[in-house]
Amino acid sequence: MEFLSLAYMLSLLTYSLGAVFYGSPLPLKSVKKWGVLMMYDGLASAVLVSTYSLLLKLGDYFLAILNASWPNFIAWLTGRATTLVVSYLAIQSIAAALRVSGADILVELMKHVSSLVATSLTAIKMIYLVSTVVYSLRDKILAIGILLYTIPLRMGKSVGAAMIALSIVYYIGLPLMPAFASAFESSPLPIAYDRYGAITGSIVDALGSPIPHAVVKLYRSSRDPVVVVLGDSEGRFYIGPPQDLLALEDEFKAEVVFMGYAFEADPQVIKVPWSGSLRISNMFYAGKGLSVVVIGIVEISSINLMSESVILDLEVLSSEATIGFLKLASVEVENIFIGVEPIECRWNSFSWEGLEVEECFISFSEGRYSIQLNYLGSYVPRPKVEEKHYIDVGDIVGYLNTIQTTAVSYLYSYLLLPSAYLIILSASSYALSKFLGGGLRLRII
Amino acid sequence: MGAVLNLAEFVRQVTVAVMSVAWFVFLVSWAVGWALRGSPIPFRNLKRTGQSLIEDSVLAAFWLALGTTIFALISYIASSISLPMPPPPTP
Repeated sequence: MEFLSLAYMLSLLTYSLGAVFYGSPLPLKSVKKWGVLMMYDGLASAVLVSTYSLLLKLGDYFLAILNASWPNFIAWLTGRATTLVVSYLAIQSIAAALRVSGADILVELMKHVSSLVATSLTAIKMIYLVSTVVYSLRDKILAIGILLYTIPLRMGKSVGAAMIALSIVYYIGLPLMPAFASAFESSPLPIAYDRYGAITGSIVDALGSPIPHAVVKLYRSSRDPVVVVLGDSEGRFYIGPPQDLLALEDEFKAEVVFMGYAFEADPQVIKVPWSGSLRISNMFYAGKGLSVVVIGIVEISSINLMSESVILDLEVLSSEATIGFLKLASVEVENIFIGVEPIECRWNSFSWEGLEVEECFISFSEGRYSIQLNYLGSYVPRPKVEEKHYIDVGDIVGYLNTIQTTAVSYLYSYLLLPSAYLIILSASSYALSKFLGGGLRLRII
Repeated sequence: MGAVLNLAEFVRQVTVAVMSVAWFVFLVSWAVGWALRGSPIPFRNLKRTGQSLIEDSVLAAFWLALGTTIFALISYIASSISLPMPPPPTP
C-alpha cells in the first residue's frame, strides 16, 4: 500500500519535527509543548500504520466471534428490499385499479400508504448504499484515515480519526443490524396483491362458435346487474383489475344479451376467479349478423351453416316449438324454405343499443322439418352499450386498512429501527475517534 | 499510485533534511543554554531557562537518536501481533 508508506514517512517527519521543536533554543513553553505533542503523534500514527493489517483482521475476527457475516447481512437487506418492492408494486396496481374504477377517495388513501412504503424503500436503499461503500471501500477508508491522521501539526487528525473509527465500527456493526432488528420486531409480511381475481372467457353459441359483440351481465342478489361488459368481435370478454375489483370466491350469476335478447348462460353461476366459455345453449350464430333461436323441445339432427345459407334439420318433440331468426336490419334474407316450400315470414323490427334488429318467428307442431334460409350478410357493428364496472367496496376498505397497518409497520421496521441503529453506530464511531485523538471539536493543544 | 510514491520519497527527503537540521538546532540550543547558565547576569530566571534549554536539547537529541529504533520496534511489535498465534505446545 503506497498510502501506508507515505503515512509512515509522514509520521517519521512529525516525530522529527516534534524533536526539533522540543530541542529548539526558543525558551517558549508552547513551542516545547507542541514538540512533545508532535513526537507523541508521530509515535501514535506509526503504531496505527503498523497495525493496519491487524485492524483489518480484527474486524473479521470480531464478526466471527459475534456470528455475523457480510453475505448474510446483504442477503437480509436484499430480502427486505424485495419485500418492499413487491408491496410497492402491489399498492401501485391496486391504486391504478381504484383510479380507473373512479374510487378517488380510496386513491388518496393509497397515495398516503404508497408514500410510506416508498420512504421505507428509500431508507433501505440508503442503508444498502452505506453498507456497500463500507464493505467495498473499508480498507481504503482506513488507509486514507491513517494517512490524514499522520499529517504533521494535527491538520487531518480529527478527520483521520473519524474515518478510522468509521471503518472499524461500521464494518463490525452493520452486519449485526439483523440481530438488532430481530430483537425489536417480527419480520413483516409483504402486502398480498392476489386478493382480487378476474373473470375472463369467451361467449359462444350452442355449437361453440364465438358470438361477436355480445354483452355479458353479472348479477349478485339484486335485479340490476353489477357488471356490464361488451365482448369483442371474437366473443372474448374480461372482467377484472384494473376496471373491476372482484374479491376471490365471490359468486355472480351470468347472463348474455345479444341482439336484444337476454339468454341464460351456461354455467349460470360464476365464482371468481374464472376463465372459460359462456355458452348460450338455445342459439346458433350463423355469422354476418344472423342468428337462430330455438324455443321449445327440439332435437336438431344437423345444422349446415354456409356462407350465405343456413340449413337446419330438426325434430319437434313437444306439441309446439318456435324457431326465431334474428338479424340486423342491414342483412337481407332472400327466402326461407321449409322442406321445398318457400314461406313468408313477417319481420318485426326494433332497436337495441343503437343497432336496428329484425326478428321473425316460425311455429312448428310435432314432427320432422328441414328449414333452409338464404341471406346476404353484413358487417356487425359494435352496439353502444354503457359498460358498468364493479368494485367490492366492503372488502377493499378492510383490505386498505390492512395495507395501511402493514405500511406503518414497514416504516417502523425499515426506517426507524435502522436509523436508530445507524445513530448508535455513529455514536460509537465518535467515541472511538475521540479515543484515537480525534473528535469533532478541533483541539488546540 | 506513482505520484503517491514520489510524494513518499519527497517526504523522506524532507525528513532527512529536518533530522540534519535538528542536530544543529540541538547544538545551538545546548550552546545557548550553557551561555545563559554561565552568563554573569545574576537573574535566577535566566539561569533556570539556560538549564532547561540544556536539558531539553539533550533529551530531544536522545529521542531523535532513538527515533528510528523506536519506529522499528513499533513496526516489529505490531507485525508480530498481526501474525497468527502459534499453536499451543503439546506435551
